Amino acid sequence: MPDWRSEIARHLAPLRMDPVREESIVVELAEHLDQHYRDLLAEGVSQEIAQEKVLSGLGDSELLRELERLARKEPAMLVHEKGSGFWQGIRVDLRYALRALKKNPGFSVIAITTLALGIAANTVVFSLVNTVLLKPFPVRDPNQIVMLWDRWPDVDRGPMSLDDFHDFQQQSHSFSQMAAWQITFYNIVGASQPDHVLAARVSQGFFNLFGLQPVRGRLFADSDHRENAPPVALLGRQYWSSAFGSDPGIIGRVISLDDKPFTVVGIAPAEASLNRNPLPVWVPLEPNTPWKGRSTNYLEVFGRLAHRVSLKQAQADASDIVRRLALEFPSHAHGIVVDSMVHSMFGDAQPTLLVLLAAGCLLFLVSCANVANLVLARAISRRREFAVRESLGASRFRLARQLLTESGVLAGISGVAGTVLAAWAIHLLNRAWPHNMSRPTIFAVDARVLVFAIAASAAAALFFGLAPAIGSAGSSLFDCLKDGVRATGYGHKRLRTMLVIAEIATSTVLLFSSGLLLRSFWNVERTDPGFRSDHVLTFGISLPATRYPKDTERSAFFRDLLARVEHLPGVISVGGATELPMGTGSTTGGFEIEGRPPFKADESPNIEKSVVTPNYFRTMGIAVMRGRGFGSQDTETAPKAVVINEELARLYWPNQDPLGKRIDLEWGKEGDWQQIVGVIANLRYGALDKAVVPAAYVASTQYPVSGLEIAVQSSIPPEELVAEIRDQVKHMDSMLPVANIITLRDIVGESMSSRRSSTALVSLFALLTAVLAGIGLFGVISYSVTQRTREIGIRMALGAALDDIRIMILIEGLALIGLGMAVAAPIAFAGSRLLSGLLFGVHSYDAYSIVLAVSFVVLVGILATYLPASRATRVAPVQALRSE
Amino acid sequence: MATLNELKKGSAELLILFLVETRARHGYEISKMIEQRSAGTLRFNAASLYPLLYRLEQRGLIQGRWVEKANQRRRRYYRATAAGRAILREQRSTWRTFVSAVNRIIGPDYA
Repeated sequence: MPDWRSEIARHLAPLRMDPVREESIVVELAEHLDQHYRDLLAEGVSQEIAQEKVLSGLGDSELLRELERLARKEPAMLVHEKGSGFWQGIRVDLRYALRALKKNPGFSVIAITTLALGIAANTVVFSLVNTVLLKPFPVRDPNQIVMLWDRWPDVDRGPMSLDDFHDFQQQSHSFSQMAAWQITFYNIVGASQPDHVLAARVSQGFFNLFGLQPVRGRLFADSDHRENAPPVALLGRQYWSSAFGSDPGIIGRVISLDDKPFTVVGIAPAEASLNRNPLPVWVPLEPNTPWKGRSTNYLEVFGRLAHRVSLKQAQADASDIVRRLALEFPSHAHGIVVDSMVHSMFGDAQPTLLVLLAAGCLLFLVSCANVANLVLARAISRRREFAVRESLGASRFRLARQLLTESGVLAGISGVAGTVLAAWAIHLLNRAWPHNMSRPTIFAVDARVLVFAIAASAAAALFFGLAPAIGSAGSSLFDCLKDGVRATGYGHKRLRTMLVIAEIATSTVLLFSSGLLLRSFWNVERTDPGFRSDHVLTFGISLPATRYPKDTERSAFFRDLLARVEHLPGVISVGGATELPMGTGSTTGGFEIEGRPPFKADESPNIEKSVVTPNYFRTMGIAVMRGRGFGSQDTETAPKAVVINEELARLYWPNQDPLGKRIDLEWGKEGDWQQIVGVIANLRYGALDKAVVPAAYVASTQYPVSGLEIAVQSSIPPEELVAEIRDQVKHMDSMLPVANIITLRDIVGESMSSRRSSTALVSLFALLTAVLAGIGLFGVISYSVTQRTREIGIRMALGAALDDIRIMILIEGLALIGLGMAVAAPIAFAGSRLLSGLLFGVHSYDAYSIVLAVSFVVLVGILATYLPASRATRVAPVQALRSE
Repeated sequence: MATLNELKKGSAELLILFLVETRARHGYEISKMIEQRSAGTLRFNAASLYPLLYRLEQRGLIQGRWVEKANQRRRRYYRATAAGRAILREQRSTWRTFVSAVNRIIGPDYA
């Protein structure tokens, strides 16, 4: 049974009748049409013909015209417009707009979903970029702050030594203020339980440079930075609340840091942690640093540009200073880099964010294009309605205002939906964002971006909705009434087709990019890290020098601890190293080869150095390729042994056997040569997608250490060991904290998280864009089929097979897809350059990604074309010929 | 058939008032009766019939009422009001006078 009611409602819609009255008329007429239809069927008329006959009873616009005439005598029939003010009219328009959306749910749902997705994607990405790039530091004038980095032959940005920093403070004229900090660790006692925490040692003037105020108490005074000043410390705001329950009485109390007493004088604001996770403890740099002079580089140096000094001038000034210093201290000669703080701290994240930004923008543009397409199609089909209304006396301004309201309502609803979606996505992002990555603040929906996105989508809807309506009002009423859609559809069809081609091109570009990223992700995940990560638990122990002053005590402690842990049920093997792969720290430096002249300053190698316990390689599943690992023979008195990795062997002993060669890691005294006893497989140190670096290992039995990262391989789930390990440590030293208990698998996973989330986001955007392009294509092909109903009817009447018709329409769709792809190809390849920093083991012209993008777009395209194509073939020839 | 259409418009009110004078009828019934009694010469489609009914109702000549009968859907039944019946009487005599006058001129054979 045909749906008479909606047909009648469609006829009545332009009148904006009083809803009760309208409903009554709709029901009455529907009953009439229904009865008529049954009677015709009873007479033996076919369903199609009967339906057509019945509907012709509604007349073209007769009903509307008659009722309009009637309404002039009976204003109560229409929506009651109290007063006639502008706002009153808006209210009526609003109500009508809502009803129009409700009457056409397909259009409304697609348009609103599309726009909401676009708004949400755009808002999320812009908020991300805004948080990370545009306003990353909630400190005073962050853009005036620069960072100074030492440049060495193999290090682009290295930290500075204390004396260099002091020289800069005295000699530089480019900065109104300078400050430095060093991030370190402390064992803290005084909170609820002993803890191993991050801490900052900050130079004089640090807080001042950033314009920061204490949360409570005071920050450091100049006198706190003097040698022999009474030791003082600040607590970070967050740590104060988590470990001390925000107790205001903490100020003035004494806590112990690495077994030395410090008086807490204040609570530092969260902003002082800059781009790091909140720092728990702050102490003055000068009295607490163990490294004076120029030989140890460990300071990150900040400077606030003086008035009217550019970055370039500051760089020139700094270069002059290091040149002078190089003459004075030739053995410490190095270059200098002055860079903005924002770029210094987020340079690494920039490519990822730019790619996300580009993807989000493209998705937004496609969603706008799609809505434009929808609105355009609808406007064309409503030309007749507008022509009738204009002929009945509606002013063009009135009609324009109506369309404006409709676009506004559409954008408004989508805006609300988009906001909810964006807030939800940002909530997810905050939870998923890796904790070890620098995160300045919690992400928040940026209101300006949101407003911009909503306004832009409204403008798109409005522009494309209004233009044809104004056009139709101007064109001959007679033409519109007579020929309806057909006479004037052509120009708009071309516009719509162009929009769809652009959409297909965009989605191809995005799919190709996401293909490249997915392949890179896959490659990274397949990369052999060189060690086993399952069933390994890791934790850190660092012994304070005050209670463990002698090497023998420290060695004894670790020997004892490792033995105790090894005897826990479920433990297979235990080993320790000063640095675990992908962990927080790393020690790098140069070395010398026996019999080879020392490396010159500009070719000095930089290798990864660690001290490991004898069982370390076994515990981590690291393969010994040649020679041996460490063992019981490597005693304190035995000749010093060193194990190197394959990369180091390849670099310095190509095609030679490195075993037996001697090197000096400059670990202890000069002339302390270590003999290479083994070569192990390469480990990925920084992350899976970082290059392999040369590395060398010495034994903890020969080089005692005060801190170890300990790895425990177990046959049981490693998490089950946590409590017992804590017990063992507590049993040995109740004041000693256990730091960072975490499985190795989690550490590896975290090193992948940034890549994972960016790949997932870009792929999601690409998918959404492809779906939107599919919807757009569907709309254009459907419209074209409707227009060609008559042609199709003739073809079928002349004997065309159903398949011919289907193929004809499929070809039309595929032609658009082909055009879109042709447009996309150069853009995609050019765009992949933007991705180059994120690619891993994939060429920019990767065939798999091309195939993925092309086949996905073609698949979506065929789906979008198939529906209208099969509908076209269901048209009965007679009906088709009679259409229009 | 422009002329017949014009005549139809002129006589529509009369026809409807006549049909609902003695009993209430719904719109479809009215259109059916007009069609049958005129042997298909006069036809009102929904688009023209209902606005007519509403106009008559608005002028107080007929009154519509929603009625629900057993085994039938809700329908609106129209019936002439007292004012409607008065108008009908007046129009019927005017129409008769008019028709016989026209007939006298053009001859009854062609009527």
